[in-house]
This record gives sequence, structure tokens and C-alpha cells, in this order.
Amino acid sequence: MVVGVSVVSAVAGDVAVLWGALLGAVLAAGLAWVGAARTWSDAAILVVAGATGLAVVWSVLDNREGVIDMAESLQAAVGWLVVGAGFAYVLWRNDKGLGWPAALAAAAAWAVAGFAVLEWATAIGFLNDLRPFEVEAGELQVLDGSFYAWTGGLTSSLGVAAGFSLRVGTPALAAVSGALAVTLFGANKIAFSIGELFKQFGRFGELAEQFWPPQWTWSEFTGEAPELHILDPMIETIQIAVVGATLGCLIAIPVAFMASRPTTYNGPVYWLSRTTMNVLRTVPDLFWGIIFVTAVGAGSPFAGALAMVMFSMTIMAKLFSETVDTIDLGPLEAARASGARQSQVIQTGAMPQVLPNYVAYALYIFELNIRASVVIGLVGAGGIGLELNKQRSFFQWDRVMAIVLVIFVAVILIELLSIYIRRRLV
Amino acid sequence: MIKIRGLSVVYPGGLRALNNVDLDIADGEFVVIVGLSGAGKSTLLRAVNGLVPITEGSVQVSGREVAGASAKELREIRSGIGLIFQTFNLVNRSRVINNVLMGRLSKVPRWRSLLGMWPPEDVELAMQGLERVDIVDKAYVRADNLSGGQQQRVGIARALAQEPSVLLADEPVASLDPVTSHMVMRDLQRINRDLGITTLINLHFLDLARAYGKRLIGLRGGELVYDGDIADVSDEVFRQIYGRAITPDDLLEGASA
Repeated sequence: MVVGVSVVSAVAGDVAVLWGALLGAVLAAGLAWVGAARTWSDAAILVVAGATGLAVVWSVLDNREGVIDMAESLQAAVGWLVVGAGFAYVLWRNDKGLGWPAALAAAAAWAVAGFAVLEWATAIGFLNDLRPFEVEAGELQVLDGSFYAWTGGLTSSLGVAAGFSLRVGTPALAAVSGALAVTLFGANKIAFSIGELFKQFGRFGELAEQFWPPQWTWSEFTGEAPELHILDPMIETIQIAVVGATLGCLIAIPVAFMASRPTTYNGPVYWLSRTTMNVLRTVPDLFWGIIFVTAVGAGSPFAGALAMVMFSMTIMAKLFSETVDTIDLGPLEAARASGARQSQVIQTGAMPQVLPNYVAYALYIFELNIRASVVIGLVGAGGIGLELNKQRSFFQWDRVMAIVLVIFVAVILIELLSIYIRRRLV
Repeated sequence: MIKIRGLSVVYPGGLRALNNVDLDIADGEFVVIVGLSGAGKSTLLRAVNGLVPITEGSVQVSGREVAGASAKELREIRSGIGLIFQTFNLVNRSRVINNVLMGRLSKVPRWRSLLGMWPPEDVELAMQGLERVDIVDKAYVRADNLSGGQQQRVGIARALAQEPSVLLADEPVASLDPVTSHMVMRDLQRINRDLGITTLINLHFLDLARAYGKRLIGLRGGELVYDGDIADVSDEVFRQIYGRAITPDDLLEGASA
């Protein structure tokens, strides 16, 4: 092994190969420890694969001009593929039970992970500091040692995790490492950068000063005395929530019964109500707000209430129908056997079984409504959201803080009320 | 009067639960039906009030044809037939009186049952039913606070509240202990005698069948294999119906026998 390393390093003469050889040695030791590698030839294969792989990666990085672009990341991934191939080969030769698809997947995992990590490193600016004219062909560029530590470590763990999960037969690890790879890739794409976050932190501190102390009263028009303008919109929001929750939950009852197997009238009714419910449920609450504001007019709490009705109805119908699906069918059969009509069967056989659940859902939906009606206020559906948006657009942060505090208190109070009612009902 | 001709019931999936059954039951009779599990006892009972779809044949109850009846006709037929279940099928969260009033659902207008505004005559009738099974003191108790035997008596009261002409009982005592089982069987016997309601009971305890039955019907493999007076029934007849020797499992008092 030592011979191999010195030969390789004599030929290439640079640091990357040494790091690669070290990576291979670490892998060999780890695999040996868990019994997936047994002989010196296994170790040799891993060391060579590591050295070669990282040499490829290095050659890409060496030849770049400034920031690494995706094509170069892909090329570097080939290097990681070499490492992965060595890793997979060792796994496979020591456990012939490991099928070649699994081995291929382990090798591929290395390549994918290597690619993702390189993209990530670019995004967080690890490699941005080398500007084009600083990269000189042929000259030995020793990148930051921490770069190798970071990417090497991360890539290794991802690849190892994938390989092991296949070896041991628990796909969970492979799934986790797959998820990590996807996350890194996505983070790169949305420019999620921790470094950037730290840079902005200072600015946030300056901004925080403008929020405090909160300003409770202000003048709407010039010459007007400062007044408490928060209370009325908050009450309006609560009223919107109450109306929305009540009407929505009431309408949801027949819809839910029609959309549940035990209580529905017949096949077509079942499919129609279930499909309608599922389609309507996908509409986000903000969108309901926009629809009704367009229909009814901005600044109108009526629009807000209508939006909340739809919002509540869809949630209650889904929750309630799932509960009704699980009821005991016995009382329903008994009611049917006495000659009752379907509506009576539902009323006396099904409803008493699910009433406590209904009440619990209704209270929960009411809480949701409070928060949702603040949000739709932002699109002009009335209530305190409208006021919040107005003050935000004037950059009156101290008034915004006051409004936020009022909303916070209101939500807490309603939550306490809801807990109290629920306890009394049980 | 129950008239069954050529009754066959085939479930979707191909299971032939009943095959060409012919049966006549006069008004006021007390009939016990025995047979192995799966012999078709429950299917036969549920065919009488149309809870299972009738594939072939005819079932007439008090002159009305069940096979092929419309939904409205079925409701009318069912309102005159009371069904008692092995698992009681009460609404656990409701009070006993509300459970019994479920028997009146077909007799009152929809709005009354929807709002829970039962006419006083119906409430009185329900109370009378509870009294007949000796459980009227529990009228305002929640149904799941009762014992098994008490719950079954509520089930009987619910069936009685319909003022039915036919009473069907599907293994009414299978979930009860021996003492309570005897009480329930005696109640059913008494109701049949005092009110003259035609009664059909599925049993799988043979000693109960012999103790309380008057006319015995044996089903095996979906077919009628015995129909006669209980006095004429010997162990040999039971063996014929069951297709095997009697075991202690077939007797209520089997463990102690």
C-alpha cells in the first residue's frame, strides 16, 4: 500500500492524490472493521480508487477558470464515480450476494454525492475566492486544506451510507443519503448560503431597532388625534373567522357524509363528492382570499368571510369524512333494519358516534381561521391583515410590531378558550 | 305469515349462502334455526327483511314480496320486522331511551326524528318496551354503561318499539353468559306468547334450542335439512344437521356438562 502511494505520488506529485490515497485507506479500515473488506488487495483497490478518483477531481478543479460551473461539477463527479466503483467492487467481491444493481447504485451514490457537494461548495462560496487570473496552468495550486476535509468527509459519508445500507439490507440509510444529496442540490439552486446569512445578520440588528417600542396609537389623517386603530380591524378579523368557521363547518357535514363509504347514498354520489372535496382542498387559503376579493371588492370583510367559509368547509369535510369512514357499522345496520330512511340512519346511527370528533375539529378549524384571516387580510379581504399590510407598506415598523403583538395575544386567548371548551365537552 | 319459495342467495364473489330454500311460517310461531357457522342462518334471517340481496326465489312477509322490492317498499316491510343482533348494535354514546326510540324512526316524520322531537306516544311506547324486558330503570343511562345482557334487552326493546309483526333474532345470546342467555331466551319466549309476534331465532347452542324451541329448522351448507317439532328432535337429528357428532362447544352448558 505504501509502495502504491509513493508510486502514484511520484508520478502525479501533488496533494490531491495523497488525500485520495488517505481516503482510500480510511475506507479500507472502515470496511474491514465491519467485515466488508478482508484482504490487503481490498485495501489496495480502495487506495488506488481513492487516489485516482481524487486525481480526476483535482484535474477538474485545477483547470477551472474561477467559479466551478455545473459542467465541471459533473466532470468532477466522474472522479467520485471512480472512488465509488472501487468501493462497490470491494463490497461486491466480499459479498457475492450483493447483486450488481446494488453495487452500481453504491458507485452511483458516490458520484451523485460528489456532484452535489461540489455544487453546494460553490453556492456557499467555498471556491469563489480564486479569481480567473489567479489560476495558472501547470502551477501547483494548493487549495485550502479545509476544502478537502469538508467535501471529502461529506462525500465519503454519503457514499458510505448508501453503500452500507445496500450491504446490510436496510434501505433507510440509502434513502437518507439520497435525501441529503437532493437537499444539497436544491440548496445550491436557491442560493441558500450560510455565509450570506451571517453577512446579513448585522443588518437585521439595525432593523430590529425600528420595531421597538411598539406604537399603539397613531393618526390616520393629518390633524387627527392619535387613536387606537388596531382594535376594530382585530374584531373584524375575529368576526370573519367566526362566520367562516361556523358556516363552513355546517356545510361540511352533508358533504362529509356523502364522501364517506358507510353513509353515502350510492356510488356516483360518493365519487363526485370525494373528488370535489379533494379538488377544492388543494386551493390554498390565500387563493380563496384573492378569488373573493376580486369578486366582491377589496377591503371588504365579506370577501374574507366567504374565503374562510370555503377554507373551513374543505378542511372539515376531509377530516370529518375520514372519521366517518372508521365508525362502527352496527348501529347503522340496526337503523336500516327498522325501516329508517338514509338520512335518519345517518342522524341516529352515525352522528352520535362522531359528534365529539366533529366538535374537536370545529374548534381547531376556528383557530386556523383566525390565523388564516390575518393572512388573507394581506390580499385585501379585510380585517387586521389589511391594516398590517398598510403599515408595512409605509415602513411603519413600530406600528407593525404593535399589530403583530395584538394578533399574538388574540391567538393565544382563543387557543386557551378552545382548550377550555374541549375539556368541558369531554 | 312468512312464505319462502326457492330462495337462493349468492354473494358477489360467488359464495352460495342459501340454495333453494322453501319455508312456511305461520303467524305467531316460535321458530329456532340451528346449523354450523356458515350454514346460512344469518343469511336466511337477513333475507326475510331484505338486508341481503335475494338472488333467486321469493320471500313474502305478510303478503308483501321482499325480493325485488323498491327502496320505499323495503322500508315499509322492514318497519314491521324487528331485528335483534348478536353484537347488540346499540349507539354506545346515546342513552337507552334514544336507542329504543330508533325503532320508531320509520313511523315518525323525518323532521321529528331529525330534531329529536319524538311524540309523547312514541316515548310512552318505548318505555313500555323497556318495561317488558324489565329494564325501564335504566332508561336515561348511556348505553355503553350497561352490561351485555342489559344491552341485549335494550336491543329487544328497540325491536319491540317498532310494533312489529315479525321478530328476527340473529344469535341473540352468543355474546352472553349462561344465566343471562336463559333470561333473554325467556324474554323472547314470553314476548312471543303474550304479543303473538312471529319469532325466528338463530341459535348455535343446541341445549338452548331444545329448551326453548317449539319448531326447529336445520340448515346445512345453505340448504334446509330439517323442519319439525322440537319434541321429535334427538341427538341423531342434530348430528344429521351438523354433519358431525355433537361437541361440548355446541352446548351452552357444555363446559359443565
